[in-house]
Amino acid sequence: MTVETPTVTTKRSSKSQKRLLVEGAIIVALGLFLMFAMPAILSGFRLKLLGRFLSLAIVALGIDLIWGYTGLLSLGHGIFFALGGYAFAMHLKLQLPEGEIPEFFGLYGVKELPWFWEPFYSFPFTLIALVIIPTIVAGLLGYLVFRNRIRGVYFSILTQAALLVFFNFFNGQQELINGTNGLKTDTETIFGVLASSDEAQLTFFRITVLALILAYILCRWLTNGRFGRLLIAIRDDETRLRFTGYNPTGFKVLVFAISGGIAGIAGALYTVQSGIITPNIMEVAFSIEMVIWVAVGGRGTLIGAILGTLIVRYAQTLLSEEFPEVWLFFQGALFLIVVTALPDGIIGWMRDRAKNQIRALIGKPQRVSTYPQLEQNPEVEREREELDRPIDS
Amino acid sequence: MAPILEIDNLTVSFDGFKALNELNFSMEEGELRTIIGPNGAGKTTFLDVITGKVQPTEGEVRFKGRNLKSLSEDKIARFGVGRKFQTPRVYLNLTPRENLEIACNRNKNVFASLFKPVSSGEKLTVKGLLETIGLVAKSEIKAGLLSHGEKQWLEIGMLVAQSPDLLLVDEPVAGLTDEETVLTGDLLLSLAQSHSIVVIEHDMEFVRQIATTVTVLHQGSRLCEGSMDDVQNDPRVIEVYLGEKPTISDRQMKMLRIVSSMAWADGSIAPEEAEVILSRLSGLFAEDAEQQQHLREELRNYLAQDVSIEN
Repeated sequence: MTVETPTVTTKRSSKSQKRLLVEGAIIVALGLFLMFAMPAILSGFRLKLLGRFLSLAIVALGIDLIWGYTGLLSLGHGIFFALGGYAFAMHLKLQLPEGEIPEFFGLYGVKELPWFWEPFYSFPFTLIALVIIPTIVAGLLGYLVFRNRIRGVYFSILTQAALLVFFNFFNGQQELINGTNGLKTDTETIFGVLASSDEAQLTFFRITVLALILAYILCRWLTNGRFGRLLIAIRDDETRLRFTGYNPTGFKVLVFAISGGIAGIAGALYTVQSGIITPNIMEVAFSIEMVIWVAVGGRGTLIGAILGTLIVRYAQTLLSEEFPEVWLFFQGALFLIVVTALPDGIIGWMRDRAKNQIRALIGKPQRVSTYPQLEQNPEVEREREELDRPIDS
Repeated sequence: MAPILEIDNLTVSFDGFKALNELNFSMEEGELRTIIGPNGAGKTTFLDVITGKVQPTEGEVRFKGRNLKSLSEDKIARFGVGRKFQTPRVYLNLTPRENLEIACNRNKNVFASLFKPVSSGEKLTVKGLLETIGLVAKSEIKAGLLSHGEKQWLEIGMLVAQSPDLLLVDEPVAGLTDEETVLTGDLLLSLAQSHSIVVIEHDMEFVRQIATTVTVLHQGSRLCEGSMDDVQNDPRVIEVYLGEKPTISDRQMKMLRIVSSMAWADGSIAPEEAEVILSRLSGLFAEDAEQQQHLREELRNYLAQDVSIEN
């Protein structure tokens, strides 16, 4: 037994290395396909749509990290999404000749640029800010909530309440950020190119694909090793983990902050591909929709989060183009179907139950799963040999 | 040698209800101590206070000479107190190996867990533990698929992986088969060679198997302490377990129980015969007819309780 175990481990690790290699190859191929083939296939409008959906898939990854793996259902990711979006939009708004301030300030009689706009003149600062600001806000919110051991439904309610606070605040501040009207980025320029031009949009699309891949790799790394198992442990039995000597607060704050930062990037990319950001992005329904994407795709599976977003969003586009009235009913039905028939989402179903259900449909007997280690169990092997021997001799 | 765990005048009250009432307790390093007591005696609260889940209202708990007040659960755990819960609590979506690796991790802060891979020393410890708890063949399936007994062992294994100085074990054999119970007892006894252990248990057979010193809790205080035999013959213990105070002296009671258990031993006495033995025995100690009658009933009740009597 002592001799056998190491060989088993090395076999397993080389196998997992091989799988990692295959996964990497698939990601690179898909990434290249999206970046270079898609623009040739799709029209400008469709490409923009795909870009927006892919940026939403980024925020879904963040939700999956905090909900699917760590078990904290956040209904307030709209905040972080919007913060990222606003950060980038503010930078675009400041592409003006020396001494001028964005046009909308004139409507409210504001003559001086508010102080917090100043640093957004700088492009590097903006890039950092659109990640760091949501990260810090999420980290702070998370710290206050998790330190006081607020969990479950109360956490969800708190995040939703925070979302409403931000929503009302952004709506009310005309003099600071144009209130309800939001910030329009379509008509602004970035590096001297109009943000809504095909050229700029294509770049945004490619950056989105790249950001999605990077976010996926980050989440994959986080959820894969010991840290990922600790997240699952927090989800399954936080109290046990506490008595094992871990303080879950730090883990939860870190994951929530990362999840917020990811949402910030997604928000920035979504904004420039939509052409405008308004406080409506922080509506309660939108943040809940994010959760639905993950639930449909399969929580606790990163691919599921991405796939769920694309499926739900494309279904929405298709249905609302054909029958504008139907979408909301469909969305409700979708959620019900997922909760009742596919509790683990599409990917979860494919992983656990699809094989057997399809076999049952075509009339083949179901495969019974057994302990896979039975084959490797030396005791079983020895028993088999002993059973075989008398028959041979 | 200094006591590893000392508890002075500990009171814990929940909205006025005293779950623990001026409890004093002390155990030496390397000791295996069993705590028994009827339901609601405060056994689980006792563990809650030591592990930091509940803060004492009054009094203090000292572990390795240090007052545990206002330390959080995870700090106490890192300080060397491991706890096994009443129902097995393992991470069902992780494999036994992963469960043990989590418990085994020496550096439990966020960034160490993120950046440091599992060290080879820890892997070796985990491998050894898997063999000890007999889960080598099932080390790669989800812990949710294990049987109840296997989960209990896995949790004990996780406790050991934590390498605590003091193990607190809450009802380790609840829901186990007889065979598993004996194996669990052996496991605890072998662990006791290198750890201090507190076991809380209801199962008297099991307590007899492992017990050296037994502490009886009753209504939040320590009722008595001593070897299993001393404790079982202590009239106060009999009273709290059976709910009635004997009217005769300890020695008389002991004699009565010895004689009557001898009479009962072969199990083939006719009811009439039993009546005669009972009335004669009780007549021996009683001073009047009324007391004799009472004593006879009392004796019959004790025997009906099926408390094992050995001395």
